[in-house]
Amino acid sequence: MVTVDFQYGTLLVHGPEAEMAPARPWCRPDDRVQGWRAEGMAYGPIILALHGAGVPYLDRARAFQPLSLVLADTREPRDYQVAALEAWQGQGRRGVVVLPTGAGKSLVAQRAMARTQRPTLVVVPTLDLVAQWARQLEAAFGVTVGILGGGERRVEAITVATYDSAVLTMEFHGNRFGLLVVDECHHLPSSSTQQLARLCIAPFRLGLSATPERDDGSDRLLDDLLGPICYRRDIDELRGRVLAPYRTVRLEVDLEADEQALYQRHRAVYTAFVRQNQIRLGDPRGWGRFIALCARHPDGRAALDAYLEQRRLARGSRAKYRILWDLFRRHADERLLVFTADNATAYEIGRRFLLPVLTHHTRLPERRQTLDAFRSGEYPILVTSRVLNEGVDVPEASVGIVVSGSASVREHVQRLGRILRPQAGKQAVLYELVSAGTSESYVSERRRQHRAYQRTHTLPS
Amino acid sequence: MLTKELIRCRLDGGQLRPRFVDPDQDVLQHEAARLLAVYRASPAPTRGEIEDATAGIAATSPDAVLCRGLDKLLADRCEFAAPAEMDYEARRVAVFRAAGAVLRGGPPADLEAYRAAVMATAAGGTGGPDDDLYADLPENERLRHFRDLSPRQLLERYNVALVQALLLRSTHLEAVIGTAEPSRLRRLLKYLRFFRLLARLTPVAAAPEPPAWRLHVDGPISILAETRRYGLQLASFFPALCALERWSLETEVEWQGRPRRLRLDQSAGLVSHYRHFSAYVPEEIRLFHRHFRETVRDWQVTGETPFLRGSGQEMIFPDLSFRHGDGTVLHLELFHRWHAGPLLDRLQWLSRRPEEPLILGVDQVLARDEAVAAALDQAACFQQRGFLFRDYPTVAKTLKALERTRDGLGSSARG
Repeated sequence: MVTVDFQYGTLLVHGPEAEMAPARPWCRPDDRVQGWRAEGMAYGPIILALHGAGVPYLDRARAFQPLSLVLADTREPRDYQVAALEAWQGQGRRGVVVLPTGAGKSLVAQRAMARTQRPTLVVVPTLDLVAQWARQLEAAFGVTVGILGGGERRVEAITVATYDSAVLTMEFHGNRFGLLVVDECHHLPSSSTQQLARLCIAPFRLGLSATPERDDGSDRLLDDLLGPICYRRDIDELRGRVLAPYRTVRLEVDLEADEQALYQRHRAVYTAFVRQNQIRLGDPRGWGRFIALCARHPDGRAALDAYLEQRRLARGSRAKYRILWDLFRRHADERLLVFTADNATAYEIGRRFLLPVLTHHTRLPERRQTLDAFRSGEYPILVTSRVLNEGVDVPEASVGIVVSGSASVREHVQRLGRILRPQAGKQAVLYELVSAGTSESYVSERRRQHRAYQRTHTLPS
Repeated sequence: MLTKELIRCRLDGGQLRPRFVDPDQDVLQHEAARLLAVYRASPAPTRGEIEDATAGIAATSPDAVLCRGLDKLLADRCEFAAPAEMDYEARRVAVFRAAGAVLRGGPPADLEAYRAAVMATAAGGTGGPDDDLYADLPENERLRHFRDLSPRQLLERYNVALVQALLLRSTHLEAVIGTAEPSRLRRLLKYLRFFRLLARLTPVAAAPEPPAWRLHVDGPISILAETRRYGLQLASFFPALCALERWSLETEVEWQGRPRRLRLDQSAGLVSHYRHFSAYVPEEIRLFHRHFRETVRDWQVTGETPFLRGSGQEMIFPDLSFRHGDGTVLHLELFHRWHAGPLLDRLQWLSRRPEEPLILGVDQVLARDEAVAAALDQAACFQQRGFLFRDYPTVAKTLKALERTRDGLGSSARG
């Protein structure tokens, strides 16, 4: 008899030599426990192999039973959602569904859960998404949903967790779920985050993303962790049909003379330090080297201060604030989301224009109240650094203003996605403010390299 | 824990040498005292005030990285609380509602006019227009609790933290430990279990007295993939290792993109901040000893409890040992409510090794666990050698299990 146990995210397999053969491709001998050990995610293949070979086994790893979930939401899924579900089921209930923001990925997940009828862990990147998913799932299935994250540690048959909490707790809860749903799954391949999928025994897995590709190419790991992409529709394929029609507008603004002079001076200090110390910022480890050297080198502090100051000037110039005010007035009867690259700029905008700001510092109750007020229209403008980049559902927003951002294509596409949730008569517009003659121009060019941005409009500033 | 840019170490022929400090140096004690004074200030400072003050000290320090490292260790010992003088959240709601109303009505071209209109509408709330709407951000949080320590303790803590910061970047560690006391080895392995690490344990054959052991420490998944996942656990385990009188450590650390060797031993003079609990005897154990001595004639509680070799590399450290007048020696291992996994393992092991001189006490709360209840029910060994207890075992139940087991083992348990 072969026994399979769960231990801290791994499987311990014991059994007579002859009976171990079917399980061995996933196992390694572990002399620390005089048995065999496998990753938690090998549970499905091992059990299938033992079963297929007719080997008697005792499964003590699995700590879940089938459920009887009843979907209260009787809306008919759209044709592409049905196709996505069929494709996922056709791959043995494993794989990644790629749909643009606003196209109803969470509805695909709910249908997958109803078809699978197993305890399910939904993993999401932010606390805002935890609250949103929990609310939607409670409404969809009429059950209490567990939460891991933001100080809560309640596990139920359906549980929603942040990535961080899932990584930390999977050693203990990794055998309690039969279905793993990973929202915004392009985050999963990073070296620490992927552990949550490796330590979990769930045989059924669904990844959801609008942008699965990663700059480092590690998205290919998703095949192993969740299953290959089983269905894909891109943003321009659904535009005007299930997504709001949109345009993107790039506004170049000039620094004022004193700002320009300061910018050049600080930039010179920073770039001289980089050159003198032969730091190659194009190298993947270049940035880390710069930061480390700033801590040690006698001129490092000045170089770091100069870097931060030139960046602050480009990100938050007076001209940008003037244009912001013009845009707020131009779109006075609409719902606006303002995105910044950093918290300092977000709070500066909040103080200057007396506007609500959401960052990771915002406590959960205030976060909920602010989002509710924005959705209801009580707060027509909401400023955020990065916490709303992904997933959070604000269909009322029709105008996005990127005051500053990183070079990440994904971040830019996700920000565009925030304003594309369909609503009757909605025409979405995403403005991008770029300080001319600064490094922002280059950063902007890099982040716009996506098919969603092929038709750019330029308005006079 | 020190972050990467705060680690002070040098490379010497491919080997990492942490740059430890001398806790006896006056100049360093003075620097540590200056930093500590910032955190001890009264009234309690805000996070921003602490950062400003310690940045000023670091700017004039002969070794800014060391200074910032000491400061990081102090910052890790703090708890902050949000400012309580005003309900900032309520204040913001009032202002943002007013701003929403003005914006929806078509805001004036002039920003100052807009601000004045908003603040006039929100004036029903507290505070004037110059209030900082976001004065409750973390930089304004006030120090609520600081776990104080002396300048010397801070410097000693820093030396250990340097090693811990390097171990964060390691996949495993090799250690050789020497101790004559099973209680110390037991404590070390308890830390291993607490941090969910696994060890291959082998005696060092040619070791001089006291007996020495070699440990290869990593985590469950390490056998499948080289991972730094257990770096934090290894780092947390290290103070337990360096608390021993004789120890050495060898590992590889990812440093500047390459694996580098780190070797250390007790000659580094590191002072662990983990307390040594081995000398402490809990009250309920002392009571048990006294009651056992007063009521039982044929058995004695022995002073020292050895360890048994379990399955694989596991070592079993019983909680108490008993000697019968006829020479029979039996050991008692207790399983509390958080010990479900180890208990299931032990039942399996004991069913394969019926000759082992071990009896088991199981907490009643643990026995109510579904899986545990089923395993206890099926385990013949538990019927003979086990008993249930609430909070702590009674002498009467322990004695019955001792007698049953002695009868079952016959002469094989007589020493």
